[in-house]
Amino acid sequence: MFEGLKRKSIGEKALYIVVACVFMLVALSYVYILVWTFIAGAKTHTEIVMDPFSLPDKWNFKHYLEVFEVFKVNNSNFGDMLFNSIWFAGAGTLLTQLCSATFAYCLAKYTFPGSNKIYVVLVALLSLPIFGSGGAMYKLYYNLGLINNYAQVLLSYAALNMYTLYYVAYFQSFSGAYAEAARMDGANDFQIYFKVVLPQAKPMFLAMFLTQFITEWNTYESTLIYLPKRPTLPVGIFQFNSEMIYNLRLDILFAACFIVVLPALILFIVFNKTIMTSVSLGGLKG
Amino acid sequence: MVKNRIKNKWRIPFILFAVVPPLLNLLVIYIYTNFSSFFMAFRDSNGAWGFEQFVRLVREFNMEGSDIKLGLRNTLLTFAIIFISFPFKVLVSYFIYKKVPGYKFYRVAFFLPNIIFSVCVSLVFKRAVGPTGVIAETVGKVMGLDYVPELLADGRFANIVVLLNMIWLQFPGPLIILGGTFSRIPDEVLEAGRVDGTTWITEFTQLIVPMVWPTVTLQMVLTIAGLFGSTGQVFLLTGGSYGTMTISSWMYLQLQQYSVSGYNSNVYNYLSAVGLVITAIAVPLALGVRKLASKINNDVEF
Repeated sequence: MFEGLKRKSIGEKALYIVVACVFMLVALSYVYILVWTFIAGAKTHTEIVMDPFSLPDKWNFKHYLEVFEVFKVNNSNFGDMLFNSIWFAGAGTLLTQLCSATFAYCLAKYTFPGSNKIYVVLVALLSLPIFGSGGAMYKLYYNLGLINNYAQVLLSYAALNMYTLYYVAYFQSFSGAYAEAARMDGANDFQIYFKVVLPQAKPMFLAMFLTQFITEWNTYESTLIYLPKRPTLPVGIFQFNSEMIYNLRLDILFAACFIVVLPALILFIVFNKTIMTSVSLGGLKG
Repeated sequence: MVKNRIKNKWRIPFILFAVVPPLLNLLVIYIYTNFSSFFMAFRDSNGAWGFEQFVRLVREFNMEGSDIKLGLRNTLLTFAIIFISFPFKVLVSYFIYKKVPGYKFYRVAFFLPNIIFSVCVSLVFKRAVGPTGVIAETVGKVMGLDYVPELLADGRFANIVVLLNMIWLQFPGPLIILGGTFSRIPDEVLEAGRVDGTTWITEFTQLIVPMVWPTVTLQMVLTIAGLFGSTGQVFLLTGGSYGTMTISSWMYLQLQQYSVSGYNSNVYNYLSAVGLVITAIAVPLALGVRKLASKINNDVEF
């Protein structure tokens, strides 16, 4: 735990300890959000309102089971919202990552007309803050019949974005030795990519997939506008909020919050090292 | 980098397979919608060409208590805070990379604001700063009030609380990207510095930051670019009330409000005009940051 303090001067050790104290305070405040949500889910509504920071008189873990019956929004029950979340976060993320990785590999390893310009244009497009297309986007989805449509995933996720830049950086320093060996053995470009390159790039792909999956799992803004009748779990919680305040059941609301957080939390804890060490953007200088 | 130049019959089909679908998507989702938005900005309520939306924008901007004016002011304030605080975020990644005591725990805990969905974070935060909490009680005492203030429902405090919430939640910065980039710095480089007796400040400013400068700059520009398009916690904490409105929240609220009643072209035309004006403000800011970054270190690669 204190390996970072080895071979440090007294002054640096003191600095590291001060920094560690500040980091610990911030980190604990984040953990507290989770702990508070979990405890609130086991309290009564009155306890949450009157004394939000106390422990419950009696731990009502049955609220966590009630969520699966009570958590309903606009004719969608927990199962429907879970399916919507898995569809948009899971299938959508897989589509984005496959498109981004394949595109980036092609850009990094193949020469074709315009290949050296595309990356520059992509970075410029992503760096330029262009706004106001929300209305045009809504109009496009509306005209294509994609509002509240599961097929929206095909248009909104098969996209080039920040992840593409990460993949380009990754594939630029990716060894082509195995791919070349496979080519010598008669493999074609598709076989090389899907059977040699992608398996080799698994840690990067997994890190990118999980990072985006967690983001998409938690997102509510675009879903609320483009998919109001296909609520995902966070959108459900957003809409459930006022209903539970009205029905005096904040306990159920927070129990539902905790249940919704769990999948992303478990994925992150299990794959923490892969996520934290597999991603970089751009090469090093010097 | 060795590029694949070997001719074979699968080469072109693979390139087409890899490049065409994402580029088509880019054309539809990004190019088409932005061009469409540009033209929508110059359409009036009857569909005729003109500057009606811009005239309306100027009129609403100059009105007493204008949400757009307030939104712009708060957005620029947020921009200044993010810009000033960015070096501290790089330092956070540096200290975790240097294995400050407890770094394994921070690597997990600092990602929690991304893992816990923002609706939940806002629900908890609202209660933490609510009138039954210690924070509101302390503020009331410090301000000499004889009551406990509703911090998020009081124009004197709401915007400060929303900004503090942003600073708190964004404390770790782009940890994954910077952490991943730092971890690729060869140990020999730092070891050589250590042998030369460099202090941590020298190591950070003269060895590490110059090496990862392209990444740091790109990340900073992307963060700033994202700032104008993201509603952050404002929408969830206050809905833009009590002086907390930002431009992105205002635009999102309009879009959300009118999406419920179906497609309404004039509202979207007006949003497009506002977006165009905001773009005209945000693009020079982003380019200015990039130029400043290249002046500090001329190896900005984009």
